[in-house]
Amino acid sequence: MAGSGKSSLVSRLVSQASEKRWPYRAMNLDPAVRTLAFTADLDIRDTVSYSRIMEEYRLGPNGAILTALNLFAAQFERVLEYIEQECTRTEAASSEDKSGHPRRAPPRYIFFDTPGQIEAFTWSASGMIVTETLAAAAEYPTVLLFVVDIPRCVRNVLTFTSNMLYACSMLYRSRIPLIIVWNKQDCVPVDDAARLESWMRDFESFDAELEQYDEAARIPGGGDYSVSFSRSLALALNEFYHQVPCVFVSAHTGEGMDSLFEALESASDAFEHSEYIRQVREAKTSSSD
Amino acid sequence: MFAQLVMGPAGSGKSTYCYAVQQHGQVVGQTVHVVNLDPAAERFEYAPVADIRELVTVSDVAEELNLGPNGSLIYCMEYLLEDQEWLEQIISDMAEDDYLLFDMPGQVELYTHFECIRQFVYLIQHQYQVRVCGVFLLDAQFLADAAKFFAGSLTAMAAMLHLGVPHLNVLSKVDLLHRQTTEQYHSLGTRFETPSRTEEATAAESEQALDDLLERFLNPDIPSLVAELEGQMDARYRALHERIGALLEEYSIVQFFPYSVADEDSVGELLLQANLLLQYDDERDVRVHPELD
Ligand SMILES: Nc1nc2c(ncn2[C@@H]2O[C@H](COP(=O)(O)OP(=O)(O)O)[C@@H](O)[C@H]2O)c(=O)[nH]1
Ligand SMILES: Nc1nc2c(ncn2[C@@H]2O[C@H](COP(=O)(O)OP(=O)(O)O)[C@@H](O)[C@H]2O)c(=O)[nH]1
Ligand SMILES: [Mg+2]
Ligand SMILES: [Mg+2]
Repeated sequence: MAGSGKSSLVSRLVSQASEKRWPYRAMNLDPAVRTLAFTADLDIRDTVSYSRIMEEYRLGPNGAILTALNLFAAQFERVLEYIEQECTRTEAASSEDKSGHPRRAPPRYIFFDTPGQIEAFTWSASGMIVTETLAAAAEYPTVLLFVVDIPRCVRNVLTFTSNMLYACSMLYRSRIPLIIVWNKQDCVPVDDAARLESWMRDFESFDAELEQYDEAARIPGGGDYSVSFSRSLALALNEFYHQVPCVFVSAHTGEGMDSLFEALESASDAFEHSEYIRQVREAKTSSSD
Repeated sequence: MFAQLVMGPAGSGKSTYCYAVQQHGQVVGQTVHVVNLDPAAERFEYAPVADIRELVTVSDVAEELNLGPNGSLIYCMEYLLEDQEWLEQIISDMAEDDYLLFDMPGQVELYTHFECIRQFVYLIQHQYQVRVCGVFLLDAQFLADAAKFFAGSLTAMAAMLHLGVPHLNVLSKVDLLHRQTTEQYHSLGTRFETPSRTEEATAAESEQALDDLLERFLNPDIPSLVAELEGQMDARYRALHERIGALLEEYSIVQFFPYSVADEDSVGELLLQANLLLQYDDERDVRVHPELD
């Protein structure tokens, strides 16, 4: 979600990767970002100008972001070529890097920062093209990091619930591994993070919290709030937490980043063994027959 | 007073829907006023009774306060709530049984993450006694299989849970789906060409495929969706599919009404459904025939 700290997280991932001497590349896909907290190897802003699109196509900010993404996705093949070229760099070429920085070696990680408005990426054809090109066409282990704002969610259980439902919707839409990254841990007292964890672990405490809200007391379909609805909600989300890894971090202080990297490794493994990639490969063999 | 909040991602067809409903209203004798509440709106065809851009626009805010597109949008929506005069003026110009459509901004964050739309709904319901329902549009092209159908339903639910008003899910632009299925069938037709296959047969089949698809959205059968999902995703997610299926059923949001601006019947059906949610006709009957009360 906008402001949850995606760019800050990418920036932290980048700095941790270089500390650990893990080669990486970082890409910016937000056409409207003003100042980027990390150095991007590829930046959508170099290809398409958000403000020029606003003028040229006479679009408002929303339309311009979508159009910029569309234009970029249309030439995503070139991004793929770039990645392939970077991945096949020989040690000789990388050792030419006089800084001795591991950055230029074939990357172990590629981080993509996405636009502030989540649905510009998640409910657009272009976002789908980017994820599918990486995951299905190129078969790179691709993982979604769903970044959630702890302070906002802990303040209101409905915001928490909406965020989790949205995360779950991302899992279905992409069908690739997803990690929930609870960010801004440094902003809240330890008790608050514990509260979030208890909502995830414990049906009773989630339900008790939910019942305090008038709004939740009615099912938007028109009926009355029923025990069975809140129960269905809790059960569904519970199962979601069982299947989807979740880590608590602070992009500012760097705490929790080691567990995020561990989660990334397991998710990448899960990708390699997933039904998704099996079907992708099967489709490729059958179409080449 | 009655109001529909028209929501959905950018480009899902909200503004076009508002225009279509307004036009259809004219045909069936139901006056529908549209209020544009998207401060970043680009273009729309309806004649708005009020437009938030008279009050504040995203580009002015972005320029003056040096905010990004998101920050500017939030600022505009909060401004709307702070300076209630503008809203009050609109509402006080309306008659008691007037019918409003609010053409809302597309950012999902506004519904799932921030408080402003929630506060707006609360305000018009409680301070101005407006009866409100939500209409959530999703582009049909993004809901082509069971996994995407679940994804769409969960997105709608994430937005709706926050607002707590009765709502309709709308599958928009189904005419494009029609074109897609037709193309798919034509390309299938050329791939497996058999001499007996005629053009009409292919057309009829594609028609049938579309009907089947729409039928699935209108009357989704959770067990068969779950079965389809099992084929699409890892086995460990099986319990998740079942529980989400149960949740969607419980929340009564599994149903999507197909709509395209080109199909006047679909527009009429949506207006009817929204009126039912708002109990619009009951209320009007009582006023016209007080003896019924
Ligand atoms: N205290 C704190 N603030 C953070 C953290 N991560 C991000 N922020 C702040 O949250 C705001 C939004 O961050 P940004 O990375 O631009 O979010 P994005 O829109 O998701 O890319 C900025 O003011 C950041 O400084 C964190 O871990 N702790
Ligand atoms: N084919 C087709 N296109 C539509 C339909 N409704 C909207 N559109 C198009 O979709 C685009 C976005 O529509 P708009 O109403 O502005 O979306 P909004 O951003 O949600 O307000 C426009 O180009 C519309 O012409 C429809 O029912 N069928
Ligand atoms: Mg950002
Ligand atoms: Mg619009």
